[in-house]
Amino acid sequence: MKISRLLNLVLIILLLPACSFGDLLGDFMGSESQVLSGDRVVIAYAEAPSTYSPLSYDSVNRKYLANIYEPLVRYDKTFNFKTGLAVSWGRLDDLTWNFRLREGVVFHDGSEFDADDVVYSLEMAMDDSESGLTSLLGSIESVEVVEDNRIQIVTSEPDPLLLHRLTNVYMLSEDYDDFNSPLGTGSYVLTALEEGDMTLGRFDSYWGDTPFFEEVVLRYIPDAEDRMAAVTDGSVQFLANVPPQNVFDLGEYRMRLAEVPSLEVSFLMLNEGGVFADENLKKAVWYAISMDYASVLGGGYLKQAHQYAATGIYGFSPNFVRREQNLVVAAEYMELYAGEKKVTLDLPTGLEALGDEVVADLAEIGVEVEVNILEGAELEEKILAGESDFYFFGWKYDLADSSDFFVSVAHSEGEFNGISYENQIVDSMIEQVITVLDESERQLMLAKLADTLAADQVIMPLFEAKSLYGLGEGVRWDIRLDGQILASEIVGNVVE
Amino acid sequence: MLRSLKAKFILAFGTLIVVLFAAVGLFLVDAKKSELSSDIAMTTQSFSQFTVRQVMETYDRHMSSDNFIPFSREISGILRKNIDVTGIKISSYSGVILYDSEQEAVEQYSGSIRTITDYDTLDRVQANNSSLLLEDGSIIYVEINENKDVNYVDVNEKDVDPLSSRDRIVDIVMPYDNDSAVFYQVSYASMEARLWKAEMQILLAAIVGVVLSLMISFMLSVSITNPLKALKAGAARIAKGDFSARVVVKTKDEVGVLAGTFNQMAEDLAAATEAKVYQQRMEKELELASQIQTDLLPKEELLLKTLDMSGGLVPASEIGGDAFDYIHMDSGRYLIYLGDVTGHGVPAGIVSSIANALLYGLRSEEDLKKILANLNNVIREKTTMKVFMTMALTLWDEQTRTAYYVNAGHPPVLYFDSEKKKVLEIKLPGVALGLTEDLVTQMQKIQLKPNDVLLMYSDGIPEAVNSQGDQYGMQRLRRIVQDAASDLYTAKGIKNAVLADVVEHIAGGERTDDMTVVVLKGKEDAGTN
Repeated sequence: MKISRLLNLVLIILLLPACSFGDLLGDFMGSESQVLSGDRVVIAYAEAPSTYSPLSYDSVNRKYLANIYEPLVRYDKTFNFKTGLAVSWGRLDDLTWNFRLREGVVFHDGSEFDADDVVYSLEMAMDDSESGLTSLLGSIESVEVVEDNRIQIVTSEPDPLLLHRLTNVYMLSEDYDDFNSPLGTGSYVLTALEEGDMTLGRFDSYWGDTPFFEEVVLRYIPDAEDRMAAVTDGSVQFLANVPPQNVFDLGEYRMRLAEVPSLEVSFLMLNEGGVFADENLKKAVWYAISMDYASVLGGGYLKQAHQYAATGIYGFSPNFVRREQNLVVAAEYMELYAGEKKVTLDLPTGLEALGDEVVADLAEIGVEVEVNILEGAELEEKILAGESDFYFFGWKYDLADSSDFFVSVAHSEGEFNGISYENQIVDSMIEQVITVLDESERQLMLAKLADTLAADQVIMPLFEAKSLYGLGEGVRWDIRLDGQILASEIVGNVVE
Repeated sequence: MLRSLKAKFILAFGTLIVVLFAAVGLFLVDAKKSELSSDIAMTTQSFSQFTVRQVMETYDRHMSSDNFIPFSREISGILRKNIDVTGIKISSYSGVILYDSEQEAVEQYSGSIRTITDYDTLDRVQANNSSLLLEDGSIIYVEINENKDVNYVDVNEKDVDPLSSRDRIVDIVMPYDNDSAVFYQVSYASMEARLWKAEMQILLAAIVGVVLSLMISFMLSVSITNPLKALKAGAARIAKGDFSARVVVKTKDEVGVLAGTFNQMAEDLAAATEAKVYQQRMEKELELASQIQTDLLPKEELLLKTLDMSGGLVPASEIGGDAFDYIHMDSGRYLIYLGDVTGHGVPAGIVSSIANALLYGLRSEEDLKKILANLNNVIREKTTMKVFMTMALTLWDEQTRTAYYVNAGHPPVLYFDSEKKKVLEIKLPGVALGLTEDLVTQMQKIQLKPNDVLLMYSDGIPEAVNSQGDQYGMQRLRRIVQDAASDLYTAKGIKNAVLADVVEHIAGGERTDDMTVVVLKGKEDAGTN
């Protein structure tokens, strides 16, 4: 026996286990997945942005801008926090938050994102006269740069909602102030802004995954029929607002329906600074208004609302005391009322049917209602000026937490308190609840706050709506609980 | 060491088995190690994810009022649920160690504030993603996105190499509720113990396997080498001349076949040796016979006053039947003959010897015909019917320079007439001796002038065949005789020329018959002698 031959055999056998089967398989199968890509998708909206300012807190405006700007902290599809331009964060103590910023991020103009941009963005959002985020960020006392990639936010009180608030604050380049030409760090960059069309192109230097579609057009088509016509002629592949009357025949347009609770609650507001300063009239109206507007108006996509919080969000409580229509009680209060039995109801365009219902309900107790239809911006102006006696008001719970409604609407100094409502107990409860970090404790407080507010009978929940989306054949998209449509999350079936 | 086949066989087979078991064992241990390692990585990470809330709620519940005992009890209860997690440490977001199960097993820590000073560890505490410290010192963050995809990233959420089954986790940090983090110390001791057990099992199996296979290889090699030993012993006996040696192998495999062949060989060898001994004896006897036959031929040339005479015989491969001689009869007369017994071998040799002896006995007889008749009678009487002898018989009378020639079935003699320079064939009728009872012969008287040549030859000369099958032939014989005689060769010279020419013709061919030439050449009349 030749020893060398034996040695060869030994070596071969010993070397066998050295190459792992996994490696072999991996080589064989190939690990690179195919890159998916599509040309263009057009999304049709029923509402136009009122401004392109990233400091706006209007949910419509944000639907357009969310594709261009990014906040430090984002929501995922199910309202979990996920990293945005910050990769991590935490509390040093109850008031001090640390944020570590993402490295390698650039703005659409090529400038690098850093801690100074964060300070600039937050200060603009907190202090700029045009900012709609001022009260949202009211708890922030200071923002400081710690290192190039770290900032520190100090709040005046412990703020359990700080991260939620920050999901609404877009990061801006500190050299940027021309808000009419949006410029952020998002996966899409603005390429054209024409009448009704906002055209976005992929941002090649984006830090994250490349979106599927090369180009996205956000198109404003106010008329429901025009929207459906655009679907028919193939120019639109995604409907952000499906007209309720078209919900059932969406299949004929070769579209799939996607629906999600809008987290938006609609109210009738009774202004205590106006005609409803009289307790008896206010209570009479409170008991006279029907509970059933949802089924009358909604075509199946509205449901009754009994409390301030939208169903399922933080602060929603199944034990909330429900308002009930009671015409007998209403009539009793009317008998105690001696003033003029006439009120003006301010409604936005499109809600004429609601006006008819209110007119009919209040006619039962002898109150004459004059319905006044206003454009959205006009109505908002009137409300904020405290000049509307009786109006329709919708609140979208962008933070999935009921406290921002109380802060903005129910607090005597709330930005959207158009009803001159003032209750010191409610005020102090609001001020307290927003500083409690313990979740179960805060939940109890929110429920108690809601009960207290309800007892004053000034804000009447009517219904909650669903958001309805139509998806064309070549489009796939997973619905988000926060109602946002992020173009980067839309994928197509086309493989190029 | 490696001289014996058995040793080589066991070494080769044993080595192969040991190597195979070692390779398979290593492979199995390695696979088991990867499997257990992956198991531990997965279970400890899941454990951390599922228990971090419980740990922190327990901490908040008890430690807000320094109730260390119930807290410690609950933590040890949590730790008991996973054998691979050996310790829990709680840190605040700022890096202050709030609790360390290793330091605080029985009593709450009361020393100075413990802080994390290492920046990498602080990064882990302040991260959003959970992170793993590996044995090689690297840190991997585990990002699980909303589609449940697990991504391995760095602190900046940049992709890094994923956790492999060979990586070992030192600890897992689970950040909790933006203000703290829990460290889970991971130990691979249980894996080592399980691995050790698995290794022992594999080793035991390997040892049993090796012993068994060595036994089998021993038995196998013995089954081959034992018959080979028997063969070796048999061969040794044969080498010593004992051809009766036989090997008993009952298997039907190659060794059995070899043993059968060996036995056959021994048998054949015995027969062959016997045959060889017989052949050697025969060869010796033939040599003796050949010697006797050679001795019968004349030792010297016959040189007379009137006649020069030379004879030569080139024997065939075996004993032939040719013979010649010249016998002195009385003063001045000589009997010269050339005989050729049919066939070859010893019988032919014996007959020619008898004829030679008889001729000596008959030399007083003057009548050549009677001599032939006598010879004929004896050969007929004393030999089988199949043996005959041709003969050219010449009586030379010096006084008269005359050759008296008779022929008994022999090829005609050649006569060279020196005056005419021509070769003539002298044909005489007559049959071979021993063929018939009544021999009818004629006698020819030939006067040999000086330089005349009379050449007697056996039929072996014209019939000599070369390797191409061409006969030497009479024509060539006559020409060589004519040439040699014309050139006045001596009798010996002519004889040599003829024999040399025939031998040259045969070249590589076989000499199937004796070739004999006897040359008588008339001399110048010396007169005086």
